[in-house]
Amino acid sequence: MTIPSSDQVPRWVAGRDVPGLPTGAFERMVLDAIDGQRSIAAIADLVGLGAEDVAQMIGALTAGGAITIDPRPGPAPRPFTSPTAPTAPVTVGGSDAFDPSLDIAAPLQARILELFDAIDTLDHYALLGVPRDADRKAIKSAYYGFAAKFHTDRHFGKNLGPLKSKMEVIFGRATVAHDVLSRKEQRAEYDRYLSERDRTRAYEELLSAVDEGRELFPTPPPRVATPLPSAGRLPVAQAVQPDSGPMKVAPVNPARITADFERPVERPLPASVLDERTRKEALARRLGAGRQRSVSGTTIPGAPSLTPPRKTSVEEGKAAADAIKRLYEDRRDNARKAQAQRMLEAGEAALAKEDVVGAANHYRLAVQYTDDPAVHSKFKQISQKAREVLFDAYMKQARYEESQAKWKEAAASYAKAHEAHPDDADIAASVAQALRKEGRDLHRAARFGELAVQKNPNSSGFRVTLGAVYLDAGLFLRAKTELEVALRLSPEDAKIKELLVHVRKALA
Amino acid sequence: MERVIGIDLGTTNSCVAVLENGAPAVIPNRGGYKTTPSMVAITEAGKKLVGHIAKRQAITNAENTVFAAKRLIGRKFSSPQVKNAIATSAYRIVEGPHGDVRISLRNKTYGVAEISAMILQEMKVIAEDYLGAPVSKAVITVPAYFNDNQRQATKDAGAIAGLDVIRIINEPTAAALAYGFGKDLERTVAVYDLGGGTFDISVLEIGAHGVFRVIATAGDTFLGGEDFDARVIDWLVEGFQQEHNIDLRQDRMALQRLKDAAEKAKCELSATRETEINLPFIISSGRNEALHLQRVISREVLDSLCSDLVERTVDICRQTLQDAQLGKEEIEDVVLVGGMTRMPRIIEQVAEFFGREPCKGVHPDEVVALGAAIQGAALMDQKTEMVLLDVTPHTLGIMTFGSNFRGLIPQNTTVPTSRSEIFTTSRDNQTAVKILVMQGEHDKAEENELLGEFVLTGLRKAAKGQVEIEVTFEINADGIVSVSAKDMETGQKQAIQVTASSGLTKDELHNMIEAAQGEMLERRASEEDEASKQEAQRLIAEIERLFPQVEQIVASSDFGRDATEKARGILQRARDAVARGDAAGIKEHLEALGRTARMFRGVVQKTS
Ligand SMILES: Nc1ncnc2c1ncn2[C@@H]1O[C@H](COP(=O)(O)OP(=O)(O)OP(=O)(O)O)[C@@H](O)[C@H]1O
Ligand SMILES: [Mg+2]
Repeated sequence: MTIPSSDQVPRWVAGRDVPGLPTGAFERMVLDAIDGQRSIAAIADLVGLGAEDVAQMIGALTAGGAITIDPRPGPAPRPFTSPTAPTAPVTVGGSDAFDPSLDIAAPLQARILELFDAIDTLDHYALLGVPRDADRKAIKSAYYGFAAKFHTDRHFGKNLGPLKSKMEVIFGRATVAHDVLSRKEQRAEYDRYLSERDRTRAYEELLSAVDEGRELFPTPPPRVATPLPSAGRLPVAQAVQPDSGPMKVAPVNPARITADFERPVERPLPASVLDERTRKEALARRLGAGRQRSVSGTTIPGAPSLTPPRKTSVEEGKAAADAIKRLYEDRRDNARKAQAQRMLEAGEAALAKEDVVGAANHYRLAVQYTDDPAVHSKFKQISQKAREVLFDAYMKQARYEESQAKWKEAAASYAKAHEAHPDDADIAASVAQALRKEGRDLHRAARFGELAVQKNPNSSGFRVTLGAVYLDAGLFLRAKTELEVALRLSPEDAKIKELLVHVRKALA
Repeated sequence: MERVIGIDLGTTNSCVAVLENGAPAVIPNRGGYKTTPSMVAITEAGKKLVGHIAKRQAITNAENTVFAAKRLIGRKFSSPQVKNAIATSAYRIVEGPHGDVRISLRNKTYGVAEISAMILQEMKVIAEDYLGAPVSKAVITVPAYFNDNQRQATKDAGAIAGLDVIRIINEPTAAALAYGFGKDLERTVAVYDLGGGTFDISVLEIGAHGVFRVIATAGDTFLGGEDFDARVIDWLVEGFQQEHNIDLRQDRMALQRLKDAAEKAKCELSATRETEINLPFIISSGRNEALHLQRVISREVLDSLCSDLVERTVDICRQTLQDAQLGKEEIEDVVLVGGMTRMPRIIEQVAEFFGREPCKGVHPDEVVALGAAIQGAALMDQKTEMVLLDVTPHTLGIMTFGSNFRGLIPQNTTVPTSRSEIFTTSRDNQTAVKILVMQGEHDKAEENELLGEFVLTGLRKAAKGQVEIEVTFEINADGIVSVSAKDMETGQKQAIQVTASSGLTKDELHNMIEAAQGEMLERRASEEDEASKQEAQRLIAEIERLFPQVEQIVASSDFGRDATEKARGILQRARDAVARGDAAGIKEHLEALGRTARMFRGVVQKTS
């Protein structure tokens, strides 16, 4: 058995059953504290055991295969650390990978394709292959290494075929990454967006963990039917609604209509910036009174440095054995109580910092040590809050992505928000709209569009969205049907009429 | 591998360089000078002169001698800069068929690119003579602040000169390449380039992996030594006017002499505190009496005449740093480029502004060509670890309604790059939009440079503002701009590659290339003829010199009597051919002359 060191991070192996593991109280405490983020030292600190003991225990558990040791310390979803060779997590589809007719070595070709395919999923840090806390110098050096490798001038006069434009795209993205990350304010804004994204991921993990432990929730918490106030109105279907389209974002000044072109549609600032305050305030309101409680200074009993109960000779007497057992049970109860107390306090502290995820995590552990219904109900409440915040975060993310015309990402984020509020027709229509703009999966766009219409058959806007999807997909008959219903719902709508003319022309 | 030359096509002087054994070197011209005046003249006999010989005859042939053509290249005839040039030039500037600029010399009009091509061709010949091999590829430099039309015109000039211009790069950037190449530096430098016609300031970062990254660049394409000269000319003309009540500007020859004298005085004042301008018989008084111009000018007077010009360059420097969000203290070295940076007042003011003494290690006249050669070599041979990340000097965008300009790619964006933005229609039932691609920094479209236009048709009929059009701009590393427009509704797409216009049509350009090629062949042929003639003359002289001796030797023997006879015949025919200027005849006799000369030499050697 190898004993891990205290800065290592143990993690559950997916698919392994917990029941197979030893379930002694101490083990359970330790097991409960394993979340894939805490190091062994942090776990020891949390459960009140010595780090060596915890390390020993985890070493034994890893032998069972349900737990593995993650060598990296700390919670950060670190990207890539080698500046010259950022490794994209994407594998390239095999056959077209290498083109021997090009004047460019096979590994570089593969690298270019790999990066190009992953370009939308890599954040600025990952693309440049630097850690999130990289200083300007490191960023610059990574970018320069990137340029020396991927700039088309380094392959001047060579036959690069279709890779040339791909290299230009990759280099262009690297430049944006460099420029954003080397300017203070822009980097701060970008970091906020990223942490928003990381947060949604963390919430997601948390909630799936909560959902797996369903016995804690006899009934899943009810889902909110209407969007949260801070989620705001959705720019759904508006592109095809004459009264409230995104063109309205930059209202037309009728006095100035002379030239060929309207001024551009102004893109709103990223939601992560705009809504920071609102979000905090809303969260503060929702969190209510629990805010100001500080961690009390109670000394925690029963958190001794403990040697595991040795198998002493039972023959020494039943009384002695009972005494030991009592002592052991006392200690265990004390430990559990203390543990619950610790978790609750940690949970409250997290709440005070508006860290709902952290709070929910602590509460999740706390409810296992106590039967107090108040704690259980608070846990439910916090989990629910976490869901809402997650939903909120997805909406914000979606709108930021929408504002950057990143339709693919926006569609994904809206789809996540839709999972949280499957009955919200607006969101379903938003998904449809984003998918339509992305233009890759019109079938899926149609499904969401249909869902929105099904949820709210009397909205002409949703029907127009759906009609537009059908139109894009070349399903003119269906488009016609939807648009005709839409026109019946809003007979005055000139936009619908125009679309219909378009459709009829296509049908003729 | 084929050599690529680097050419600094300057307003007043041009320079050519090449990379030799990994080190860049300037190629001297036939006269041994490292720079060649950017001057072109047509003689009365219709002969084309380029460089020093053109400069030498400028005063007597002012109307047919073109200087500073670079100030006109790629500009519209209606532009204020051209108006200004017309007022100060002795040669005739006329409007071309496309609103472009043409130059009229001895009843023939030339495109500006054609004039520049003559200079480029001269630089090409200098390089070919030096390398002993034909050269076809070149990197040519332009002021960083040149717009795409000016760059395209320069490219056209290269094509006319028979050069494949593999890249146009910016002069200050080239200077920085030469400054930092192969030195493994990591620092931020400012390049201050004040030449004969243009001013540029660029801030670059030289970093690891041989990367030269331009952070910001700005300038004025109509601010240079010529303007300093003009101030001195004004001062002289005004003084003369006061004294004699005669406007010297009316006389083209006087003006040309003034120009020369003013520039000379300006340059002298870089070394001395005072100098005398002396132009005897500058003009006739009209009463049959010649007038002289004689004045002393001091450095202080020059400085005060030009103080606002210097101030303007410093203002541009300040603005550039501000735009780049760079503090002066972040600039680790200042590189001075261009002949004008020898002027003490300029050195002082630059030093004062940046708070440090400028670098002394580079040669202001050669560094640009050296950098161009370096870039050429790095492109052709990827073993040279160097990559230049340059920026767009001007904002690229389109005209939007109300004649407004909407930038898509801001100035100082690193290329290659691409940007998109969504626009909407501005009229009801608008089925087509015209996309006007422009370049510049003004909000009003007409103040900017039009690069090209195209029409996106077949839009869905809809109320204004309802149809969304996504416009995408792309610039690749070669600086080629492509623009595409996509109807978001129908997915319909139209794209063009914006070929900036040099003012010449394809056909015109084609004809010019052909004509220049023809002339070049002729020139090479006549050079060859000239060489044969000289060779023939040399051999004739040698044979004539040896003849008496040989005759004597031959006379004392029976041998070779017909040999001398034959030699006499050859000599006579060759002399005749030379006298007739019969190139073919000369070439025909060259071999016989050579044989005879060898024979004579042998005879004399044997017997002595
Ligand atoms: N010693 C000197 N003192 C002052 N000015 C000088 C001196 N030597 C040259 N100049 C001026 O420098 C100018 C020429 O500089 P340079 O050769 O660098 O310009 P260029 O490269 O031809 O022009 P540009 O770069 O603007 O196209 C002329 O105006 C010339 O009078
Ligand atoms: Mg110059």
